[in-house]
Amino acid sequence: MNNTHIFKRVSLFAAALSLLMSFSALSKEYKVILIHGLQVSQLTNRAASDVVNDGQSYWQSYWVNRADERIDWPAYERIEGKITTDWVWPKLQQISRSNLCELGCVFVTHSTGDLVARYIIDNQENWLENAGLQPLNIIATFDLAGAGGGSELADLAVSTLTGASWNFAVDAALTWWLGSEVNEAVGVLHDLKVNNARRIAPLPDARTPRLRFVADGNAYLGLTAGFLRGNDDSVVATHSSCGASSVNSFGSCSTNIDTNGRLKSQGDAVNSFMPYHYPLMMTNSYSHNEIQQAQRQGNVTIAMNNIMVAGDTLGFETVDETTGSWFWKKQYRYVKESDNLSASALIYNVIP
Amino acid sequence: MKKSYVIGFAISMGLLMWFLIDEGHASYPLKQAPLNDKKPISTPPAQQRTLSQPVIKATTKTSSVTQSAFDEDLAKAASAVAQQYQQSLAFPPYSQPLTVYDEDRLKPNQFFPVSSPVGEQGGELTVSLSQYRYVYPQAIELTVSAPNLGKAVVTLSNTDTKKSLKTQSGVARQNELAMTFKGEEDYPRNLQLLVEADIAGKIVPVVAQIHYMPPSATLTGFENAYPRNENMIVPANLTVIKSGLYRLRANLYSGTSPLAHLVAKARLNEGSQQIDFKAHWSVLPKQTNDLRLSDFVVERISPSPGELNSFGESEISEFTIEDFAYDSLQQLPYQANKQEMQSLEFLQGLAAGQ
Repeated sequence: MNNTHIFKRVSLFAAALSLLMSFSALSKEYKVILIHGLQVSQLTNRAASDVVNDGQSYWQSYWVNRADERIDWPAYERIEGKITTDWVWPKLQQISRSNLCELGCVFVTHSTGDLVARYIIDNQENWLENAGLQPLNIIATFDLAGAGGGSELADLAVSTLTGASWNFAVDAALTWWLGSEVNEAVGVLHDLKVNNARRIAPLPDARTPRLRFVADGNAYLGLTAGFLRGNDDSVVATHSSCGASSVNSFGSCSTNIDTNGRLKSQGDAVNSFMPYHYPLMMTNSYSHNEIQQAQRQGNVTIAMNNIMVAGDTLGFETVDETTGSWFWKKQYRYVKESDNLSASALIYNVIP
Repeated sequence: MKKSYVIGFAISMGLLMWFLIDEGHASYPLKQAPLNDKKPISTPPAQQRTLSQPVIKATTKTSSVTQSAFDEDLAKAASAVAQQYQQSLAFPPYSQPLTVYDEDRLKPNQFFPVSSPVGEQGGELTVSLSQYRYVYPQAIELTVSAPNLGKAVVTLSNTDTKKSLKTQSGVARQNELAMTFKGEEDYPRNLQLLVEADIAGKIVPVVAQIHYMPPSATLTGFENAYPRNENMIVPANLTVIKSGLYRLRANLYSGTSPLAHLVAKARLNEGSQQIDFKAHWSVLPKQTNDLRLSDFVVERISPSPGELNSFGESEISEFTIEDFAYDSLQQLPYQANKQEMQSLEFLQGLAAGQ
């Protein structure tokens, strides 16, 4: 009897401890809040979707136990609609009441989470103050493969799902991206259309720095790349992930370094960014759905280099490699330790 | 002759090698990780960690040294970001510098044309609209274009309910077809235009989505600019239909050169109201004889979740500022607010590797 009682107590204690540790990035000075991206399974099977469990699974590979909180949302709803009223708003109130962000919070977003975060940044202060609550102190965001500028794939998907199939290559690309079971244009798929995405809270008043981590790797056998402008990570184009203020075919976020780390003048680099959007890292070794995972895929490079700031040229210490000689000589610049750490680990390590 | 073949062969091989080692892939072997390096990082899986285990620092002494070296590198990249952010904080949020490249602010209601590839032979079906956001009674104007474009059917529908509202069709001339849908007061906010085009016998779809709404306020004009401390004030007159917190945007130009993106925010009641645009001295040129405001946006901010923002219209397309003296302004530096300073400290913390 006593043993059973003790066992029950231990089990309860373990369960409580486990609950407390579900968000456990307590070693960081700033609280980390995760906002995930599009979950395709929620488009195809709304009834079976478990938004919170899906949110947990989304970040399982690396981030889930390194964060203090998550904002989960269902892909079958619209951002300005039920995603906000039924999922984001209750969480914002909870975070405000718990004072989690009193000393400062950092959002880590992936893909469409970038867009959700922008809508939050633009509105949370007004909403929470009107509700008699303290606005969140959002210090910065770390946006991995940000879809805040939308995706041309969503334009194609909505056209195909609304009209009729007409092109084998389009069908193949969409099947790789969304699978074969999505048969209706719903929810956040609309928000991801380039025009819609770029009109959701495009210019928030709050000057929250948006630090961009840009992937440029191949996935889906390269079948989606042909439909995305400029360079891409197989789901979003560089104009989105860099945070460009215009929709163009950009090759890099930096004017003098390519996404693969090659030091070379980039004639097709982004020439203007959305306000307070700052690219920090680029990599052509990671594709859209790899950059938030634990697995290392290859080297990463810095996104900004030798930029002019107040008349001074800044350079960065990095690992430079030279290949070939004479006519074939090429120089590459990589972030140190990217040869043995994943992009996510590199990003997590710099959060104070 | 023989020699020229050899030279030609050498050049060809050189170009081939240059092509093959381009894009950086050939560079990796120098530091190429072994195949097993692609497995998850060597530190324990995230789910097995405890609170007391720092993620990376729980490694050997050697690796902590290399880790600090890494931090230093990204820290320097972050220092550039911190400096850029610090520079932007020198300007007040209501009066930020603007360049010719800042398309999101220069064209705040731009519609990006949407395209569908026609077929394997290339070519695109494109739908372009005059703008993204319409306020009643504005008409929706669109252009459909494609090589070999024949007939096109355009269906206007409610994006959310998919209910069809209107349908028009037409035959293209010189691969282009223009259409207009008259504005209706009861259009839903989320509108969709499905274009189904006959292109050389193949039906190709493309969908454009827009916003349509009743105006929440109308910008009717401006008062003459005057100085107040460090700012040039330009009062804007509005007729407010729906009270609420309003955010107005305008771009300040000197001739054709963009100078600043101005944002004014105030709670406004119904009726005739005034809101002040402020241009900080730091964005103004000393010669102020050619200043004008344009690209106006009138927005009623979302007061609560679920109650969406709405937009107004402007009766004027630009306002010329006359008789304003730069010397009348006090050249006081702008002080960033507490949260902005904390964000700056955060970035400086990244830069310092803290």
